[in-house]
Amino acid sequence: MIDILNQLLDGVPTGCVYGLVAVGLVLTYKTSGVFNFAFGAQAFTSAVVFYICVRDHNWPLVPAAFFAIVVVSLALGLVLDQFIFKLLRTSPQLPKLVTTIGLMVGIPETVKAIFGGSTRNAPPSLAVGHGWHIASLSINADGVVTLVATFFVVIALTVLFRWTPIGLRMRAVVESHRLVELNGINAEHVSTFSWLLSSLLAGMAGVLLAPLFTVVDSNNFTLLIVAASAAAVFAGLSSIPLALVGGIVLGALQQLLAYHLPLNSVLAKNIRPSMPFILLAVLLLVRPGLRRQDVTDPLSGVDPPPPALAVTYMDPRLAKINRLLFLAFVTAVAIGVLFLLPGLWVSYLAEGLALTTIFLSITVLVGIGGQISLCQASFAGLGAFTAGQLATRWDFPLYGGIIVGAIVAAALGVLIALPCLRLGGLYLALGTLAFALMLQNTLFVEPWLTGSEGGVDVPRPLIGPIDFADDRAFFFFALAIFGLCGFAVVLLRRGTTGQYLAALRGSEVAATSVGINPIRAKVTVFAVSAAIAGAGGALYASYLETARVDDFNAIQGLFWVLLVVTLGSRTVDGALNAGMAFVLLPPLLGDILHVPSDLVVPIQFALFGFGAVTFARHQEGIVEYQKRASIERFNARLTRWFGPAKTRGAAPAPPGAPPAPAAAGP
Amino acid sequence: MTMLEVRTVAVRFGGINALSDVSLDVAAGESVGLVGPNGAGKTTLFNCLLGSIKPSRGKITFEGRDLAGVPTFRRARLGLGRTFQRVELFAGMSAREHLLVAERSRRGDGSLLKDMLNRGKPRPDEIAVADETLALLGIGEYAEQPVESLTLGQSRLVELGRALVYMPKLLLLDEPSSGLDVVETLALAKVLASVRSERGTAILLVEHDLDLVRRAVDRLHVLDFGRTIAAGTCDAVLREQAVITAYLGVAAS
Repeated sequence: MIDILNQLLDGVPTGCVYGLVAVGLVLTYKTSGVFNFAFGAQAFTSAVVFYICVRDHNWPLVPAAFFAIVVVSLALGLVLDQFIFKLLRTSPQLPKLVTTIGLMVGIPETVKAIFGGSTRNAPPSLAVGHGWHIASLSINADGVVTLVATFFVVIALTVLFRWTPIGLRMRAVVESHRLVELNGINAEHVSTFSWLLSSLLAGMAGVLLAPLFTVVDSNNFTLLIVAASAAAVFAGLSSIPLALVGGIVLGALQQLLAYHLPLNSVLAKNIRPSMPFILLAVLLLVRPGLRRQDVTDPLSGVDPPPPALAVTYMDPRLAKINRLLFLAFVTAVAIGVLFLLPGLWVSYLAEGLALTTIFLSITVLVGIGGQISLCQASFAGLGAFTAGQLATRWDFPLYGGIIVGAIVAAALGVLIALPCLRLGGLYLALGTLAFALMLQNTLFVEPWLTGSEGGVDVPRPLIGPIDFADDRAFFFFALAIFGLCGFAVVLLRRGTTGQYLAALRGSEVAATSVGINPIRAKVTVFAVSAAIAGAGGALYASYLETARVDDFNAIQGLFWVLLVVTLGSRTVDGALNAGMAFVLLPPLLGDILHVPSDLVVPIQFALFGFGAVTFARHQEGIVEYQKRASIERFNARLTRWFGPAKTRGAAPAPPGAPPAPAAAGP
Repeated sequence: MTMLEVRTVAVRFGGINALSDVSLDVAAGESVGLVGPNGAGKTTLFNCLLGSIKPSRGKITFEGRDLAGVPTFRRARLGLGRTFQRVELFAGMSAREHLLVAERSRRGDGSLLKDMLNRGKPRPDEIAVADETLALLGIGEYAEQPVESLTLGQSRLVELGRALVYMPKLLLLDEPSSGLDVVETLALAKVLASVRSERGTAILLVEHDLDLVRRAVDRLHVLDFGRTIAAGTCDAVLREQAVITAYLGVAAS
């Protein structure tokens, strides 16, 4: 009995850590409607500053902690609030999600670029002394500090929300920023205050949590966010005390499992690290009342509608010219790849095409389906490993592997979609991310799937007498697969499935009232998306000639989604831009701009991470936005030179009143 | 023959009885008005009929089939169509596209496979159906316009068109005339009459405009605070003391 109690108590400090982060998540969600994926990144920033002050500059603990928690985190919070979150106050859930995920990726990389990315071992701790023993129970000093701080925070916040006028206003603002303003309250001030409060909490969490890990590493903080979100979901994203309880329960359960699962079994090895993610997944499935959580602003109707696809604005003459130019471009690229470009650049382009194929899966799901999924990398990985295993074990040809990989990924996609889709929005994002992390810790560590050293060989394609082993030849194979998938995406958007999904995105109740089965439509799009990801993953692995777990990890997947959504998730060329940007930016930075090599990756990630912030303003993506702007310019020029267009009123759009979108083109 | 049968349906939100023991019948081809002050439970009853709210008690049958546990989209396929009090349109789509979606869904012959064979685009005969309906409603000239640029009245007509294209056997209309001017309301009454006479569609109409109600319905059902307070022919019901009290209050003598 005392054993179990001891084990449970052992879990309490970790539980408080989860609890503290969960409280931070709930606080931000309650007061700004943002599920702050960047909470961990903010905490990481304070932890790094604290580390540098104490370890590198030998500051005493207390001023260092004050500086890291109060000065740095408030300053960071203020900057984020004024430059980023200000734009998000009245936006729907998706841009908020994308922005905070972008910050989650961008902030740590910026911190690394500024302070250097060296490993920071043995983080300093605020705790003094070595711990206490009460009867046979022992508890260490870090644990006590975390415990005290967490309880203090929870009590203070509960009092704030229950009994103070500012607490009441904070709760009102998140319901409807605009309605509150109409009631004569400066919602801006209230929002900024809320945001600063949660930034402060993030800073505190960072400094307190750092000593619990052996190194200060941003990935730990990211994983912590996902794990703690299980506790936050347990609290229904609304109750601060419940978030703490959820955190403690989570910590205790994890500790209990650690003691009771047989040490060397597959179960212990795989289940323990993925426990929080499994719990999150289970909670999402069984916790009642989550569906009603998505608050819709009663005044959201005043927002302008999303613009139609840029091509629909095109003057028919411009469309003709455009088609010719496109053909010329494709020919030029083909000739270039065949005869002119140096081998290195050809292989960049081939890699870009393979990645673009994976990215098309994001186009389908986010751009057409209106759903966000953060486990696309897992589907891609599954396709890649399937193709690899089939080839190594049974000499399966690669094109067959691509097809089977796509089918396997689609099957898994359906399996995930069925329980998750019920939730939608934020919870779908959380659920799929939890799932990706779970897969990474369980299935993707199995040697029969991913090989003994975290990788499995994947051959280059060989069709009859044609060998695509050479990068130049592979480029054309990749082009063909990408072309097929891209065409499928266009057909899907134009067809029944695309129309139904557009209707569901517009109004789910109305779509169901004309007999559209929402579950079926969404499962279909999820499956198609997973299939494309699987095919793309196999193609990408074939380019690399190996499928490695690291290339398909969940964080990588997050980054992909960000990139596609930022550049343009609604069109095939948006995905193409994303794929090429991903591949070409590092050599552009390194070889052409001569950025030091250890800065290339941080700069790339920071650039794309912060790029996601533009999503709030241009939800159609930067590429679409620019395309529309330039199409309007060219339309105007054509009209000036040759008079107005004759056919279907596709004259240049007056601002704010777009002409009717014709049938959506590619 | 009774088409829709509502038997002692009750809905409770927290401590509020939004509907208590409401019973109501609609026969095939019949038009029934559902009136009552705001908050009387009319929209709640609609939501129960379409399945977006589960009644805590009672039974709803449609053509003899118990609707409990039947999801909304299946109820639509059984023949229940509706419009919404707070307009629910597909943002970013044109008026015609709204009707095309409904028409495709009614035919039920779209599939992923057909999409992939490039046979998913709107077909000429579908476009003809959509344009006919838009013309019937008098909004043919706005077919190409994105719905955001339409007035509230026109938006309501697009909603009505979308419901009509789906050929419901029973059409539930939730305050279709609010936001319409006098001329548009008259046109609406004509459309409803022609839908009834040509297709034999039954109608359940929630409406505050008693002129339109008188013109469009055979029978009236009055709700107040979630309870039926009167039912019968228009003239009889509107003379009843309980109805007058509910709408106008009592003199403080």
